[in-house]
Amino acid sequence: MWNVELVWSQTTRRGIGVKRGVTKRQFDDNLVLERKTLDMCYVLTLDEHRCVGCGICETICPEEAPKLSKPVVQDGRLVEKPCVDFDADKCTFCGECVDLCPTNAISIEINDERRVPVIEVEAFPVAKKLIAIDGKKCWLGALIATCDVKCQKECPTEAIDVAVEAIGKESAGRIVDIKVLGEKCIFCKKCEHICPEGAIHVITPFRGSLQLDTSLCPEGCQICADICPSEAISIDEDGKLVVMEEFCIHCGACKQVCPEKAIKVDRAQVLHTDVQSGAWVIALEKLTSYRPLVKEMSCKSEKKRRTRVKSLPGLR
Amino acid sequence: MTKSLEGKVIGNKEVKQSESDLYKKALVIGGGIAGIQAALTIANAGFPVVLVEKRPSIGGHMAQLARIFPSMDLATQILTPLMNEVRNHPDIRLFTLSEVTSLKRHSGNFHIRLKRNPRLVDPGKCDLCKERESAQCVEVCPVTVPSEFDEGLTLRKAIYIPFPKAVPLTYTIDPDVCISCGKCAQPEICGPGAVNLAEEEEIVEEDVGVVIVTMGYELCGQENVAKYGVNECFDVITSLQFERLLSPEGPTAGIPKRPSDGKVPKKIAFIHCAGSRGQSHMHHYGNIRSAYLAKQAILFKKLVPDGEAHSLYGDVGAVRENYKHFVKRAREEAGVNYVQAEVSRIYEQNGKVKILGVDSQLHKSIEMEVDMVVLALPMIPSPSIKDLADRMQIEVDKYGFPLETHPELRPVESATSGIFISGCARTPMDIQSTMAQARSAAKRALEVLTQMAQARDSAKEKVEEYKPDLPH
Repeated sequence: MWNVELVWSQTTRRGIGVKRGVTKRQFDDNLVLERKTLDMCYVLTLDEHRCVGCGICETICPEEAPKLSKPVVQDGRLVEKPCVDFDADKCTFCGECVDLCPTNAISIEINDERRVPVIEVEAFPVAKKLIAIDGKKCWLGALIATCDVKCQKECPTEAIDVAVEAIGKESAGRIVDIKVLGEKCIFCKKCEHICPEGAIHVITPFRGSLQLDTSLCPEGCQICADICPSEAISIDEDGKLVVMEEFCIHCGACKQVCPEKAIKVDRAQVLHTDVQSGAWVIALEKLTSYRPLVKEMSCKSEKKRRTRVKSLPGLR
Repeated sequence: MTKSLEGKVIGNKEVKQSESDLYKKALVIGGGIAGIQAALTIANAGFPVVLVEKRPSIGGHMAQLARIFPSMDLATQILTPLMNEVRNHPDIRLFTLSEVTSLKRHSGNFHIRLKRNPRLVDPGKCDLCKERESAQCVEVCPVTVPSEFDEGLTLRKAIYIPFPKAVPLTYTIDPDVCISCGKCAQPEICGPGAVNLAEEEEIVEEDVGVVIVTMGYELCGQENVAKYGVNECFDVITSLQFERLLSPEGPTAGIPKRPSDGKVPKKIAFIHCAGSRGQSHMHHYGNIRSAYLAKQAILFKKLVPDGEAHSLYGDVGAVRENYKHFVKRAREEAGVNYVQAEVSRIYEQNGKVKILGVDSQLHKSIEMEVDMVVLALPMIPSPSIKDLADRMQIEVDKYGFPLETHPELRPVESATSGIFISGCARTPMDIQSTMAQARSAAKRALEVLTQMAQARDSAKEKVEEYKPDLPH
């Protein structure tokens, strides 16, 4: 069952009433915005199961369409995680949030085809996300006893699928194929750390730092560990919070739910492809701080200067 | 007694000329068909006119219409020459994307302040990409939003031309949806460098003698008819959307198609007075509703000869003789089925739209399964009219439309002298009456512009003539 809340209201743009036939539907775990016109159908889907409520989409959206709801906390445990709600009147289906969502929770389909408009016209760079498996090092065909398929077991999002072929005895098996489900992977580097052969290589788009001031923590509070998608903050056997900064994807979901502001997540750098336009600069400043913005701008202008100098007559 | 009179006359002073001079200039607010006609009438009489339009192009709602009754001519065929005349007229100063922010009245004149919103594209530099096959800026723009001109049936980019025959014909960037990526401003995309994303709004001040208000109407939103449950289906459209579907220059090139799957609807229902009957505050359609639905039904039957059209009406409120004739034509020649009914619910079922209601003549419930439903939504005054009426102390009727001084004798004059109202800003009316009212308002404005100035002149002369020369 799903309930329908259709927003066919008149928003005023420059004082002009515009009808935007955007339907907002709530399926079981998905929030679906659908805009249907005669020849085009835009569908934006938010997978609420995957969404961790980090608020990156709320920060970067140029139209301020996503709105983060408040988490429900009970006795130091998270009962309901914060979730994003989209304002159907404001969304323009540009796709900036699709590109930057750290947990791949948002997708846009145009006429049943997965597309991201801002990336298509190169108005926005693609955040660099990479997971590569070196087939030579992984020893395809090796016995699982040597590595115990830790990458598959430890993956927090079950994104790694290892095909194992049983050979004779019960406990032994042979790795036949190893696959990464790109949609599920959040690039947390856990597999990279755990692989004894160093066969997996991961690049996370966000770089920065994570600091947890445990002295501020209320007793028994484990909300941050509950929300963390990459298990960078976890609870050990004694019930204490353990921070593994190398697994942090710097999404900032823990910062959103922390009741005491004990967590600091600073994004210092975002890895991405070449920038062609100004939308990125605005998003970057919102996402990180002023400093990386200045750095990037100076990098860009220097590049321009160099190409200009190269093209000067008489210079080779 | 005589002495006191004498003293009074001696005490008379000359009327200060500088203040009493009437500015021989007119302001027309709203660039719809009424505004265009009023501006042209005044400008043709030799007085300068300032025409203010909020949207990027003049033309108003008439530019969206397919055909107009009773002549069944193409609306654009009539409108485009007038729009071009406005563009080329030396006496008309056209301000598009502008709004009147303040209107001060002093000694018969109006001091107005206009806010000119940035177009972000320089019309002088933009060459509409004539040398290229298609406009590059539109292709690279990543933002798509429903088009206002097509009433949300199609999409447009953040940089767009409102419609092909727009005046002024140039691109506009919608700052509200632009994500300022700057792709269109790049030199390899826009050769002449017409895009200027840093442009700011501009304040223009003018002094005028008369004001003509032609700000038109708006369709009351769909939330008004939410009680029918129509919000769930795409195939329930407004009459203006249907007008776009019927238009030869519209998104479907004149063939009516269902918005949900693009098929040609075979069975269609028109619902008169949707959302107004039974709700006293939304009773307003004017007298044109049944005539324009009759027109749409006739056009539909012409385009889809094997189609079926049903008209569910509360009462045929057509008063004028040619409207009655029109409804009769729809009923008898086109074979539209008129049913007097109250609609209670509309919902989607198996890809069709189901209507439940009560036949008010036979007193029995009706069930109807159709492909598409066209709702005639109430016409309400545009919100800026209320604003202006508040500011200028113009009386409004219970629907929010400004009132005239006298319905028979002074049909286009508002209670504030110097302000005239015409077109759908007064009350919903058809193109015929709009044109008549616009001309009438313009003529009244011309009377003021010419006569008042003369009256002031003669008053001044009188002061000079009557120098007291009384015997002591």
